[in-house]
Amino acid sequence: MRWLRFAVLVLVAAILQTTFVDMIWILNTDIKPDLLLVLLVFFAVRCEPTDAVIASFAIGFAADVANPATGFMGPRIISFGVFGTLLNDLHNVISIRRLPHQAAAIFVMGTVTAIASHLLAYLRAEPAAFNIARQCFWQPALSAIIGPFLFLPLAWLMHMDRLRHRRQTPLARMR
Amino acid sequence: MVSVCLPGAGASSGLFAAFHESSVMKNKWVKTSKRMMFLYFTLGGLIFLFSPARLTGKLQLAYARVFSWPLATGRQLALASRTALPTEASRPSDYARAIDAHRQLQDRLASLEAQHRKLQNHLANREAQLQEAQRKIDELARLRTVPEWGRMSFQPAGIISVSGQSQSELIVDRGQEDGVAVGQYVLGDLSVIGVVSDVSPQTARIKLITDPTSRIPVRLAELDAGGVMQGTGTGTAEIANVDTKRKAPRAGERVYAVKTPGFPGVPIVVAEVVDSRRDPDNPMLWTIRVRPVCEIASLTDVAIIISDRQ
Repeated sequence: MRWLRFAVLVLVAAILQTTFVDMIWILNTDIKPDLLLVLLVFFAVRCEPTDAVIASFAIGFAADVANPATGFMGPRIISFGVFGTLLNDLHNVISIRRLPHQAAAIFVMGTVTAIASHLLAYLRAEPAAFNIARQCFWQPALSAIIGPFLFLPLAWLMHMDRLRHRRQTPLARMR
Repeated sequence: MVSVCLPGAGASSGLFAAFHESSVMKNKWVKTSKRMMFLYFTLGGLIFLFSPARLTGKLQLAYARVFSWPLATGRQLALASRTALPTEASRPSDYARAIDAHRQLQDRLASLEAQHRKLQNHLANREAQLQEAQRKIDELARLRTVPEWGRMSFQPAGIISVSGQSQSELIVDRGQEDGVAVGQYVLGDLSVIGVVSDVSPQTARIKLITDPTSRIPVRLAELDAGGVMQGTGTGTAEIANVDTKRKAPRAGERVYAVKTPGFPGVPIVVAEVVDSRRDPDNPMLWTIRVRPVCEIASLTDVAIIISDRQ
């Protein structure tokens, strides 16, 4: 894992998320793709398990610092970290190789991390307004449409041209 | 067990890298399992979650200050892209001219609309000041009237970025070094748009009136009724339990922020009525939904009210 490139990539994505992504608006300005969510799925699928844990929490940290959903930090560090790690574990069982599968993974991750962040915010304080349609459907859907097409340049940039190999079953190992 | 090696880390992952490098003692790699690392990071996330907002807020403000240039430039470009039309070079010349003319008209219209909004708010403020002055004269309580605006000074500030889940916070490029302090009111297009909620030496965070945690005492001039305006997080705010003295609130009616510590002595327009509904338990009371009189999404600059008394 090239950590310096990873840091620069996350930083650039965080800045783009709060600036240039505003230019990509389809229905209204509130619905825009989440670049950090795309990065989360990319690194969760492509990294080795330990690297995936670090990358997931780091991306969550960047998401909380750059575009705070609430007045405090933490909800997205935890939700991105936990679900990024889960996706990495899940990838040992289910292969996420084809574009539709990658899009589905981004959509599901966007939905569950949005709900988890909102529930975590409940623990801390009076929660902010939660637009279910926008945050649980439209934004993950838009990210899922755009995300798989970003995987190719990301893989080239991070020198991760190949998907992480699935864990071999004992039967396969015997062969 | 997995052996961990972090050759280097950058700005964003620096915290995590530093944390991780602490497990490396005198050039000896310590094996850390994935499960333990996950637990450590989750614990770190929980610490962030329950840390005081003023501490974590400083981290967010520091990020905004360090990257203020790309953030501000990006926002300017994003705003410009919303008003510009896509150009198509392959069209016939007359069609291209028509597009150019249409774009110029759109720009002109947007400029005129902004001026119109400012003038409307200016007029509303003047009307409120006139009413206030008239009331003072009627009561004969004071011999002379000093315009309170003259006692206040204003600190212009550029908007670096819009944040918050419902886009209900602004980060601006003025901070403690410019006299900005928590609790000061902020004007946009000559109307109150929010209050300074957090401040660092060079940047400040403004909580907009539409933020769910924003509560501002207000008065409806035509109804002669008051209440506390609370944001809803959806671009509007609500004033609950308003006794309108049997008058129905009218859409478009102006709402004024009233005197509180750090606020000028004259009312300043803050919102306008969108609609209203009666309280089902007490039909004498109304819940009034209002919206800002200023197009906050298109703002590039704001003015922070800094009292000379402070």
